[in-house]
Amino acid sequence: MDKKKEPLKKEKVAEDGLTKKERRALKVQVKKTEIQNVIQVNETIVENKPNPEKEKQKQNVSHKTNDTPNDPPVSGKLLSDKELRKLEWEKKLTDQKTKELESVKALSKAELKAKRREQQESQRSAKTSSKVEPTPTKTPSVNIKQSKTEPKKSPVQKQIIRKTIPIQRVQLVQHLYIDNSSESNDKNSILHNKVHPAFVRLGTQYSNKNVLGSNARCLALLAALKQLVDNLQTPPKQEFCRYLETVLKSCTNYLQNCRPLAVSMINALRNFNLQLTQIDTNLNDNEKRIKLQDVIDIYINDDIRKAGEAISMRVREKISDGDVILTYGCSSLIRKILLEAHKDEKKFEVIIVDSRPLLEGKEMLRRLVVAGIKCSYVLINALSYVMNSVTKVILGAHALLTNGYVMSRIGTAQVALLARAYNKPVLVCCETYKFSERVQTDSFVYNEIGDADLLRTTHTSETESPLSKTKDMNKLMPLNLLYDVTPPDLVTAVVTEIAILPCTSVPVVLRIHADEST
Amino acid sequence: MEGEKVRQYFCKIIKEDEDVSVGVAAIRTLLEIIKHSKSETVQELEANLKDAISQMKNSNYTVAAINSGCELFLRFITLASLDTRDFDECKKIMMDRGHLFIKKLDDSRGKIVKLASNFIGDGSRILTHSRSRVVLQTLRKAHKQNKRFEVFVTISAPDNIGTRMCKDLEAEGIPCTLILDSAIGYIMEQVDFIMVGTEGVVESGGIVNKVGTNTMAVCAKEINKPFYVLTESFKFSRLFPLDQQDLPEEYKYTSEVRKSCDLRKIHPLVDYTPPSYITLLFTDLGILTPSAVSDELIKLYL
Amino acid sequence: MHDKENLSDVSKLVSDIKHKNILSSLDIALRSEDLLKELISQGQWKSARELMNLVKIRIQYIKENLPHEATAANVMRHVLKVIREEYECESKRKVEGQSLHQLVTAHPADVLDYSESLINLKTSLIDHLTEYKVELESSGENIAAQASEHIHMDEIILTVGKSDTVEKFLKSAAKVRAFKVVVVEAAPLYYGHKMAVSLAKSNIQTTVISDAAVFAMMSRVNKVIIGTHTVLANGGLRAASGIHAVALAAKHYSVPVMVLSHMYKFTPLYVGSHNQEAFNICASPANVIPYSAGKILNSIQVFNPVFDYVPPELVTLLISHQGGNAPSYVYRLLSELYHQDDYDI
Repeated sequence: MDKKKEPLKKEKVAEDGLTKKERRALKVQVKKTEIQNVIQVNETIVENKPNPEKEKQKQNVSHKTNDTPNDPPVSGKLLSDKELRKLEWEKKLTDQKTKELESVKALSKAELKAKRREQQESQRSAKTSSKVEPTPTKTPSVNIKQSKTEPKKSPVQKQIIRKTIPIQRVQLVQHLYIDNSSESNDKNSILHNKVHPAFVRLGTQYSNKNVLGSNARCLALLAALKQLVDNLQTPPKQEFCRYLETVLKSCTNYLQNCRPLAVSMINALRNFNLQLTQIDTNLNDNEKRIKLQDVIDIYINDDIRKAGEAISMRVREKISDGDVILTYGCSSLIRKILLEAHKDEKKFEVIIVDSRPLLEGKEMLRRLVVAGIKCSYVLINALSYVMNSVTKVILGAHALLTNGYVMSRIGTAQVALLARAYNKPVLVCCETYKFSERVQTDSFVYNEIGDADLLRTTHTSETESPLSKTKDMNKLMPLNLLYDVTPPDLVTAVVTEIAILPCTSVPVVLRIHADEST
Repeated sequence: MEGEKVRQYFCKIIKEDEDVSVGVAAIRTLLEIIKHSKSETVQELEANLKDAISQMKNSNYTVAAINSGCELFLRFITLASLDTRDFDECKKIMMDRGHLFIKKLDDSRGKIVKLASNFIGDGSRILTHSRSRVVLQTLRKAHKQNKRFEVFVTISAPDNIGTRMCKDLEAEGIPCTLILDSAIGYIMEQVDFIMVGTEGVVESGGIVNKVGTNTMAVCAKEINKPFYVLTESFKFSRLFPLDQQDLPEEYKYTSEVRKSCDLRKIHPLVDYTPPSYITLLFTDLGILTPSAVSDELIKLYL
Repeated sequence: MHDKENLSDVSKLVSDIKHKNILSSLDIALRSEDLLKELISQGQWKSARELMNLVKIRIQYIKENLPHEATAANVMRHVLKVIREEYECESKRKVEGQSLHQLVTAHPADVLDYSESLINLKTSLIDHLTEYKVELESSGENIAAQASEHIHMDEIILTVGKSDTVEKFLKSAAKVRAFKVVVVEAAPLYYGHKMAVSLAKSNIQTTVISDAAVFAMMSRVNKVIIGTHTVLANGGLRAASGIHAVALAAKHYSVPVMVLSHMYKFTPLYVGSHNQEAFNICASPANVIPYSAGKILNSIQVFNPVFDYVPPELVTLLISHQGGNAPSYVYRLLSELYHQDDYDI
């Protein structure tokens, strides 16, 4: 609907200042083809926001600062103290960003991956949304006139459409829908709550599913955390650690609103906070910074990287020549295990089971085929067909709950169930940092609802699915759950860096961890 | 015919013909008795037959098949004798029918073998218990159909008759492995399905077979392997054991043992396998599910 | 032999099925029935035995060309039984099937030859066949009429993919009760989507979930109601791919599984192979991973099986137009539908 209105306005504006807009449009396009959140801009602009500041901020976040000369004339119309302060803050940030740019080269793998993904996204959307491109630059000026009259409406409007909260909800899972209308996640609140731009970027990566998988999300979080620690300038009369805590809290709240935190992330943050409280207060700020960054590095190295290697070694012993291994979806840990076992000259085949709507298995398939492993690919409905020839099932986990249940990508429980029916051993690989104290008996008590619209489109058939035309039918709702829990009797063993354990020993490990850290 | 002669004739049949099962031998004996009978009334004849049956049960063979086979034969006879008045004519009819019955019984094994050998695919691994003639013939037929398969046989203590089964199979050229009775749990995950014969099939759809069959069935159920039973239809009996203790003693122990010792210290010869562990029964009446057995028995006796 | 040219009617039926000109099993059943009616009224046969031979040849043809298409063969088997019945009726002799009782009471002269040529056989057969056709057409409604016995207020029903029978069943229940339906989308053909839209249009509250969410969803489901392609002789099912997982999940949560099936789906065959090779067929892998995936398609294997075997222990109830039955009773239903001797043509 919005798009239909804008062309009319376009004509009016075009007569006045076409060349300026064109120049700006070109500049914007150049920026957008490099890195960063084009999608956001499109989304938000399409919804008629008073966005001169926000747009500029986004462009700043993309590490280019060429647009600042244009700001004063535009923002001059809306001058207020708040906006001035914002502009100053932005300038500060851009200075910092230029420093960061140099250190950007030493980014972690996850960051690079994330950046690559964003690049692809931006390229894709740059191709497809070329029509929308001119409008963002034109609507701000229009919106400026409008925004005076309706400053309050837009944040709320933006919330609803940005989060795509379904107006219709499936009753069974009503408790799982995120209620975002009360929280304001727009840039006003971000600045007010001092959310670091790295976290802003992270939040958008999470909500757009650019970063998937508990390990990847955790690593991305820790990288952003390191940046935060690095950049944080304590205001006078405040202690570094306490200030860091408050900033971190607002950042994590922001992330929680973008997408509920993963168990791995929660545990990593808890560990960090614990270390934060224990840090020696006599050190000066810089020393504290170095120490905290060390803490993060140690955590990444020990609890994530080395744990992964230990698990990989243990599982490698269990893989024998001639094995046919079944795995589900895309788990970074399982991928690592299989690639290393292949390097170790073990001869085995892999069957990758995939499911809609995320179809993560394709990514796994690609990586394994490139490494030269013999692979087969099926969708989850074909499990009974392939299960006879399988010798082992190896699955990844999102978290392990205290009552022995394994929380993992939806569909994992089904794979385990079928494997049990055919009497095949099921191994779940999980680092101990993902063990959680939560208890859950079925998949509804706590879960995450994904984008229901993903179910409406199919990736293979030429004809459109009949569901795609039914967005307005309130008797028909697609439900896209993201996780499920596997009962412990369907799992043969859990492989952790400590040992190969039965599923029921999770509370024992948690107890040991609790003892160690106190 | 006196008791001693009955027993001798019975034992002679069994010893002479390797392939004849105990039940068929019993029925043949009964037919002989009718042939040589000097009785004048149907009731007398029946009494003689019942005597003979109890004599046969007292010889040292397993009783399950004798019981069911003979009961079926008796029913067969009594149903025949309702029409005519003249006893000699009656006897003649009985003889004719008896021969027909025996002919059908001889054919029954062939039918079972034809059905069961279809279920043996190329590359199958089969587990069997003790020595069953029907299973042996089925495996022979499948082998002749040029299917390649492997057989695991339990030794089946205390008479170790599994070794003989293994020898017979190897003589045919079928690869065969002898395993301990206690190794059933170990081998179960490697086999594709189980085939056993039976001594008798009971009303619930369960079977009575050499001791160790129940263990094998329970194990198979747990590991989700199909458990197939090959049996002739004359082995269906009206018994309904509720548990292992509920089996009649004459089934579990031979007559000599029953007379001599304290039964609590003796190992039973057979055990009872409940129908929930059995996947399919291959009979000359077709392939039946355990619930169909009761249907057949009801049709016959009611 | 003039038989060869007469097989043109069957070969047309087979080619229609192969080219998906007839899709629903009901249509296949009706076509087969029509074919046989023509054969009876216009075919060259003098005695019941000749007629039966003609039908047997056709069954064999179907078996060779479409080994998994059970409906057509089943209808023909049923007609064979009808022929035998009518013959016995006309010649006033009764032959019992194989049973212990028969073993015991058989008379050597009892074997029926079916070779007498009887005058009224043709007309009585055609009458019988007309009745059978009516039965076939109305079986859908008869099954749907039982719906209100099984579905109650506020229940959550799970169904998989698209089945006309299940659709009618649920719509019939929706007229009297309010309940919710969860439809599994059934990749890779996504028939579940069509089913969901159709149900929602009838004002039934529907939710669509992906195949992977079945186990998670099952803890909240009250009943599973599915259709099937074939019901096997041991009470097991040959159903659409993915239904085995649904049945296992239902067993895990003790949710009853009800299978709606017409009588022509009951086949007297057993599944003998435990490795799915003889049992299943595979469809094009392009539905699983599109050709646009590129070069990696050269180095991988992709499977797209069409069917799934569901063992009888996982099925709670088989609902046909005559009512509900346990899967252990299937052998009896089979013996009423087909004659023992026709089981393995």
